[in-house]
Amino acid sequence: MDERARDFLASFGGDLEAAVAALRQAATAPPATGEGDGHDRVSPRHTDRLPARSRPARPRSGRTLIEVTDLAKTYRVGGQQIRALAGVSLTIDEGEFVALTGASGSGKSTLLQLMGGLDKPSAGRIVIDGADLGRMRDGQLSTFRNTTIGFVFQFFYLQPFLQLVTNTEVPGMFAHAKRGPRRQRALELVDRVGLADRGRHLPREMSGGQMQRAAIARALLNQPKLLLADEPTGNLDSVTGASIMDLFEQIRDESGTTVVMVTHDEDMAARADRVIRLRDGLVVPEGVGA
Amino acid sequence: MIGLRDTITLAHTKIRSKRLRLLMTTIVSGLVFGVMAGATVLVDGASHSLAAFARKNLDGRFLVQGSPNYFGGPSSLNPNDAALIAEVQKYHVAYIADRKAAAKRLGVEYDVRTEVLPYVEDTNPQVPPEYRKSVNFSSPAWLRYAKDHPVQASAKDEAAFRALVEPLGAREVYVPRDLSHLRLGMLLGGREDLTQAPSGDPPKALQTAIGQGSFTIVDDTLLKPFLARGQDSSAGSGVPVLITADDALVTFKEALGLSSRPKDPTAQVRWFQRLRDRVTGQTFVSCYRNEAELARVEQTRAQLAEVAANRGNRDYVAPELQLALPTTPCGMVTVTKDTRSAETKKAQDAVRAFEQEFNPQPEPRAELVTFQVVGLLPSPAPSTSGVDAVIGGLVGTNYGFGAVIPKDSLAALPEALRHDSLFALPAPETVDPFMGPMTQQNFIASFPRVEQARAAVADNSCMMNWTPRCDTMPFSLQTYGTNYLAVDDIVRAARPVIIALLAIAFAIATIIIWAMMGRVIADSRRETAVFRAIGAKRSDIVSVYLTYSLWVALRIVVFAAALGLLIAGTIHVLYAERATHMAQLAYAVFTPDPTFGFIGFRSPVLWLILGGIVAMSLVAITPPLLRNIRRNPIRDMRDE
Ligand SMILES: Nc1ncnc2c1ncn2[C@@H]1O[C@H](COP(=O)(O)OP(=O)(O)OP(=O)(O)O)[C@@H](O)[C@H]1O
Ligand SMILES: [Mg+2]
Repeated sequence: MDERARDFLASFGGDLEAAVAALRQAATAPPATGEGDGHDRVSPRHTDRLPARSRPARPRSGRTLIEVTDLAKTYRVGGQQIRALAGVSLTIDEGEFVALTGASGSGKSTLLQLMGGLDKPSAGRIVIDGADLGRMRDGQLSTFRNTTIGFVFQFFYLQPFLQLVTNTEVPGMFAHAKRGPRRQRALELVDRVGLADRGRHLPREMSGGQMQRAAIARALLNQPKLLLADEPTGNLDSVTGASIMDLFEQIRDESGTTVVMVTHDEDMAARADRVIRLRDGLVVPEGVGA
Repeated sequence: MIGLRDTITLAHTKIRSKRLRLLMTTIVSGLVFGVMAGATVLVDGASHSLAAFARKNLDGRFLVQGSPNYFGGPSSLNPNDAALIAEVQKYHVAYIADRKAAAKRLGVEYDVRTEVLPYVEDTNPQVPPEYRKSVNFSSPAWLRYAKDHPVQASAKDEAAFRALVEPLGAREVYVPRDLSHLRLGMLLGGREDLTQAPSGDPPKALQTAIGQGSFTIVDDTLLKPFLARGQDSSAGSGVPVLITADDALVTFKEALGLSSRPKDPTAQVRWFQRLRDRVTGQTFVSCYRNEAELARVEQTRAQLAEVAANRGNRDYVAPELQLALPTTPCGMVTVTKDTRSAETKKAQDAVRAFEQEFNPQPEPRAELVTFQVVGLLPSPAPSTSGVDAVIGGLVGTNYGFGAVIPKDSLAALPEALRHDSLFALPAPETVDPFMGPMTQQNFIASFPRVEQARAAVADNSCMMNWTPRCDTMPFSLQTYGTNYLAVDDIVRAARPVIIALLAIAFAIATIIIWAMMGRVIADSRRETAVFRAIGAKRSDIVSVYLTYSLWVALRIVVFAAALGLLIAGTIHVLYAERATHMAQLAYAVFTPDPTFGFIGFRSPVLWLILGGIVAMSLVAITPPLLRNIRRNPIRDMRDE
């Protein structure tokens, strides 16, 4: 536990007060699941947790990380125009765990990709951590994705011929991080997602849940402020999915990382601090029935 | 920006992902390029080996022979040109007038109708009238005209040769004298029988170069390695001559009890040295007879036959001028009886004077020449197997087919043995209707470095590859003595084929590599998108794939180089020793060093091939890679 504590503290930049606050919150959340015994079993503690909806809402930190204003995105397919987003405005605070839900085709993925700087909006503005994505050039956007954002995909997208630890290191490679510390951090993260004894394995030797954990470890390598996950549990069974949710919560709690997660699963969504619903490319105002 | 080691790490995963395809690509293009690389290594090795022997052979003199080049000509000459025909007709009229005047002066009967007309006429009505009349290029009128209107051909003399080769680096120029026009005929056993006109093929012993009179006078310097040592030419008993090993064997086999050439190249080296020792100092005689004397021999023979046929015929009137065949070898026809009246004699003399005036002929002449062997020239071994034939072709020598007379040794002889006036007789001049007088005089240049000789030959040779420049080239150059550029000649002759093969190989390999790279990159679209999503810059992606294609190229290069080396190495191991012995024979260099090798890496073509593979891989990957990094990453992530 000593190592974990140090790493945990480090992730707060040595800010003891913040760490303690986080720890206090973490006490209300269940810890990460099992030690990677090959199956993504949920620890017995999870089964008796409170019903998701009745959990007390986590207080917002008050510091805005994401500010989306009048965001619109229109795709042109053939001669047809498809309005994926029709004017979305929202703010997300630092350390918030937000679930994005909505019917298929409502624009969830589109919104996530725009926030991640993977595509340009047709209209509107995205400011993340004080930086306007619309003003960034391609190279700056790459650096932004590399350092500020961590992506988690439904299909994991690990490098099939790289060992798990090396897979985790890939974002560090693009950051030109020093090999020694980079490898050290990767090992720590692999440990933290519960795959300590799997570091030398190839992706095809692991289960879906393990691969997703590895993908999360990779997303965390450069200590991003924001984790963007598009249906991270969509390809997993519900028990394994729940353990991934636990991991997200743990990360948010330990490191204060903001998590925005697209999901179809209401149970998963209910575990977030806040649920943002999209319908036909617009945010459904809070209080309006889903 | 991604670091080099990480680039390699990521590129390496590509290698592992399309293993079979990569293996096939490597093998196919590696085979194609490996064979070519092997050929280049072989050619370079052989070419340098030849140069090494040549260097040893003549102390670093690389000889190049220039032959007058008559490829081009005044193409404007039109034999149907009416103005030209009229012009030649004028010469004809003048010629007839001269002939008439001479005949009158000498008191000779003259008939204009016996003269050759200055033009020929085609009576075929199908031929258009303007083409019916054309200049008769063998008429005396045309020859006179041509003399007055020399063709503006480039000079082919020594000064012109020097002007060509000296700027190219030639140190010395030598002027060999070809004596084949003397038709020196060898007398077997020193005896001669003229009673019978020669019929059918000459005996085998006369079918040699020395039997046929192929002699060239060349400076001693150029013959040094072939001259037998310890010869004091001033004490010689005949014209010094170097003959080929084969000629020596045919000529002296029975007299000296010589053994035939063994098959094995190693044994041949010893055989050659022994043969040289045995044959050196031997003599043979040859006979010179000029046209006039040969005509007299012919006349004598006919007369003798006529007399013999009429023996006992009372009505037969014996010729007034009776001739007899020579009684000594290479002697002259003698007059045994001359009962011609003073009047007849005068008339005959007048006719001869008339002919001499228009077509001068030298006085009859016969001369016996004694030769003494002072060294042996290599002669190509009869090919035993395919490979030996190939090597034999490479290490051949080129002393202008035949025997060679060392000039300085000849000059050191006592005058009585030298035949100065005979050897100084000029070769008859050939006059080409289009070219005018054509000289056959060759020149030899000596270059200190093989590269200079090679460049000189490459730029001034119309033998192997004709270019428009050949029309104006004064001389065509080729190697002289040892054929140290044999490999270059073959390569030059085969260049179109080689270029075609290279182009085909590159095309095949390009298509294969292109297809593979295209597939690999297209298959990597999602991976590229994921890399982009987790922060890779476009330049990072480019680095990874360029590294990948370099790696693929490197594998092919290594495979091709290894295969090439294997091919050349195998041939080297199998044939280097044989080739060394054959080269020793051809170059008369019998020291342990140099040896003949088939491995050389100095050819730029080799590096061009290997570099070409790398360049090609980079080119092959560029279009799909550019397409890939320009794509919107999310589109590739959506496609499942
Ligand atoms: N690259 C694209 N080109 C064309 N149309 C697109 C593209 N991406 C999204 N769309 C369209 O935009 C709309 C929103 O798509 P989006 O992927 O954001 O929906 P989603 O809410 O993520 O749906 P799902 O739950 O099925 O993943 C859809 O109608 C979709 O067809
Ligand atoms: Mg989606």
